[in-house]
Amino acid sequence: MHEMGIALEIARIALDEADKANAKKVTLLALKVGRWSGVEPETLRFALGAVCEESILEGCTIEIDFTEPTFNCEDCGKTFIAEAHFDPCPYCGSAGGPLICGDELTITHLEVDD
Amino acid sequence: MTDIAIERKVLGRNDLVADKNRQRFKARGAYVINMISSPGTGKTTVLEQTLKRLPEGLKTAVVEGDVQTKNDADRIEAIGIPVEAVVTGGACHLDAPMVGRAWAKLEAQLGDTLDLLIVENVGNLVCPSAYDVGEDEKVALVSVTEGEDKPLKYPALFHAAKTCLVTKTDLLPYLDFDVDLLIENARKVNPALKVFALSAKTGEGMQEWIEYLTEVSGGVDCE
Repeated sequence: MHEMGIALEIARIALDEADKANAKKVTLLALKVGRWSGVEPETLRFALGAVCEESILEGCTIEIDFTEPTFNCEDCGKTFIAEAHFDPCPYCGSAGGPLICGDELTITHLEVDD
Repeated sequence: MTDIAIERKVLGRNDLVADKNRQRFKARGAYVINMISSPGTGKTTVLEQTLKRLPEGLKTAVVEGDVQTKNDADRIEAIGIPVEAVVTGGACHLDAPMVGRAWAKLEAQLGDTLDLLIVENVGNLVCPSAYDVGEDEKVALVSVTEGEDKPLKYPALFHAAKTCLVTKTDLLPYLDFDVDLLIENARKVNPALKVFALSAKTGEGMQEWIEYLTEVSGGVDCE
């Protein structure tokens, strides 16, 4: 629902980084989006298409690395992908542990033409 | 062609402002709660009844978020509590800069110290949970006229919240709603969640919530 605001912030960060690198054109914008980030990847892609227009971001490839919620079991030490919050560990049945990825919303890298 | 590694959090700027807000709230001594629910759960009614029941001497202020109108802020002002409205004009959540600007205006109406700041977010069960505004805890509200599976359908909020209020319990005799099942579902998402079931209309269950809020706010100094 708030993908447009997120897209504007992504464009702002990308333009800032491209400017620092004196880039003339951004050809690729790479993001990491977790299933539990609250952001719908395809809606975000659509919003980004709109906000990138008429800037050095226009037409860039948008690459989204979609990550699954992954927990690290505190009891047996194994990692597992969860369907729902606080699914028990499928290996030992205990309550699981900290989320190690799956809620991120990050710009990971850009490819630019100088 | 050049590859630039960035690794920047998209909401990093919001988080920075949220941390600044948090420092400013702490400097006044305020405990801050961020109330989040769907539209119509009864956030404002619970808030009104909470403000009327908090112990005298517990210094409280409110930031009221709404997409349009200042109706809710007017309701709080009528109780005589300092309040600042944030009309988002379309945005579906409050973010840290909005709350920071409201706080700057609110501070002028406050004394040297504040015990409790209550932020009432825009009615929305999805987006507000992604935005830290500088609160100490998020309070998720869900009414008995919603489904028992709300926490499973919208896990992000119930996962991020520390406390959950089940509202409108006075309607239970008319509904096939299982409060225990709702609580069980909420605790699947967040085993540590503190739950208070209450009715702002009859006052049932309000006392426990008021006691909790008074305690986390540091209580009232005895004279």
